Amino acid sequence: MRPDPIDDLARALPPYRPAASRVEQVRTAVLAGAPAVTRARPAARRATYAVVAAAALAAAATLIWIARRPAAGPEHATIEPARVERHGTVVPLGEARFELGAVLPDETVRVRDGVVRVTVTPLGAGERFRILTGDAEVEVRGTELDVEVRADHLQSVTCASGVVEVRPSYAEAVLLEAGERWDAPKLATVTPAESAPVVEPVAVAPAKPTPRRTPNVQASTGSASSPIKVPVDAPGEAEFREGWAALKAGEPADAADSFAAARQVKGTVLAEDASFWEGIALARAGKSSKAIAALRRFVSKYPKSSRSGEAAAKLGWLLHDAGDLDEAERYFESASDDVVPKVQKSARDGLESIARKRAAP
Amino acid sequence: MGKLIPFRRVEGAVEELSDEALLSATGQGEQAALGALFDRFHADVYRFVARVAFSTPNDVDDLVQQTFLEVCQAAARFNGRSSVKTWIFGVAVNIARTHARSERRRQAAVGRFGEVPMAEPEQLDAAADRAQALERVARAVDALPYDLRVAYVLCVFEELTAKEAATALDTREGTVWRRVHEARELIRVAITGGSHAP
Repeated sequence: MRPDPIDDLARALPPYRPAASRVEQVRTAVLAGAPAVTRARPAARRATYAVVAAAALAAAATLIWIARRPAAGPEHATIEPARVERHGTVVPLGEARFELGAVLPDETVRVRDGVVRVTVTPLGAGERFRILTGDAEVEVRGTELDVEVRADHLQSVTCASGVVEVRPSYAEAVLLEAGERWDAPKLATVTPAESAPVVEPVAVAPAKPTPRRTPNVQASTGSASSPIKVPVDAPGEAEFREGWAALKAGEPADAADSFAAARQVKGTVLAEDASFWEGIALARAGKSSKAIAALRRFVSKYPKSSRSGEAAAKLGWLLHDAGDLDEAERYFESASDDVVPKVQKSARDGLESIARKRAAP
Repeated sequence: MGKLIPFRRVEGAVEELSDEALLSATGQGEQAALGALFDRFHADVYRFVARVAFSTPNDVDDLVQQTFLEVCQAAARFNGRSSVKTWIFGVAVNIARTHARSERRRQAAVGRFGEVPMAEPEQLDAAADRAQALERVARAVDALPYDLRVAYVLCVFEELTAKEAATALDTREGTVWRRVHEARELIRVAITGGSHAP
């Protein structure tokens, strides 16, 4: 196309950039609205195959009879369909309708009806796993949980291990830890007799129903053939939770001890997080040299962690304050191209501070 | 206890799969592939729809959503005669057209209550305020008739070739050239106050 100054001016117009949250909502709506690939029961499936096969044979015979030549397939038929990696396993507990949705790094499962048990292997840096229903989403990180859905409405979530965030479209998000259960408030549910979850009466709150969470309640659903076991902590989870509680309570030294304990539990999937928070807790406790050691360990052991930049920037400042400008500079430089703007800024500020210190007489 | 249904196992990362493979899988009902297609092309579709459809952000979201749902429905009909991106633009063109028509009617109705005056003509020269010039270009693009605007946006903003744009618009390449030329002249007139080039 012939270049024209008008085109150059037009191209200088700022492009429309939707907020990431809007894109996320649209993406979810697209996947939720896409035609379902229903998992038919074997008997029904066999019958379907038989009908389809008979129809295909009849169609083929007709085509041969009319055209006396084989029918050409569509061009895209030669294209190999996508095969994709997934982190989760879904087990229907009784009858359930669900579809596998998007793939890594933002994996989804769309649950339309029934109870499913979802087991998610530990996610890598920047990876997500979500369970979508018509009125909510459940975000999971390295965990096992049961999800009950009736007529496309989320009824309950029971977290067996790990951490789960339940985000109903009509109420505030709720964080569930191992052993906790969330039940949809009655006002927000459709209530066919078979679908009513076993819950105690909920106080009427017409404007904005608030979901409840109930610790250590065994799942009980109308159709589940195998209720979830009494939850057991994953290795290291109890220590990690203690660390969090201490950090939130303003006791970083205790928190650091708990995170260190969580990190060292054999077979824990929380080692990466525990290692990071151990360093942060030590820094908050004013134990700079230990914090430096902990964060060095984290950065070298988990270089691909989503928090590696944050840890490097923090480490840079600790070294900067300790007077080790050369090493601080190396960590600031490694954090300066982090995807998180705040981390980038912190690293750049650190580099500028080092430059000023070196320039000072 | 129901039967264990494991997720599909690794056969390559999504980013390594071709657009055509993803679209083909979408046509076979694989929602994961649809999600990957969305991730790959949503920015293009957002940009295009926002530029051609007189839309509020909410409308743009709706149009993008409709586009990808239609992509899902129509994926099996993709014949490989164009790139997947061009084909998706073709879907978006059709979705946006319907919206633009109703929006144009709405704006015409609103316009009856008072015309919005255009800025005074001003020569484009080095001294012209760039921001003001850009604002006028944006207004001029918005004021283009739909067919001209879509052709112009596809060829100039989205940098499709005339042949690709013709495929997306289901028209002849010569028609695209003519529309882009007319669009340019209308924009030029709108921002300089001059007359059509011969």
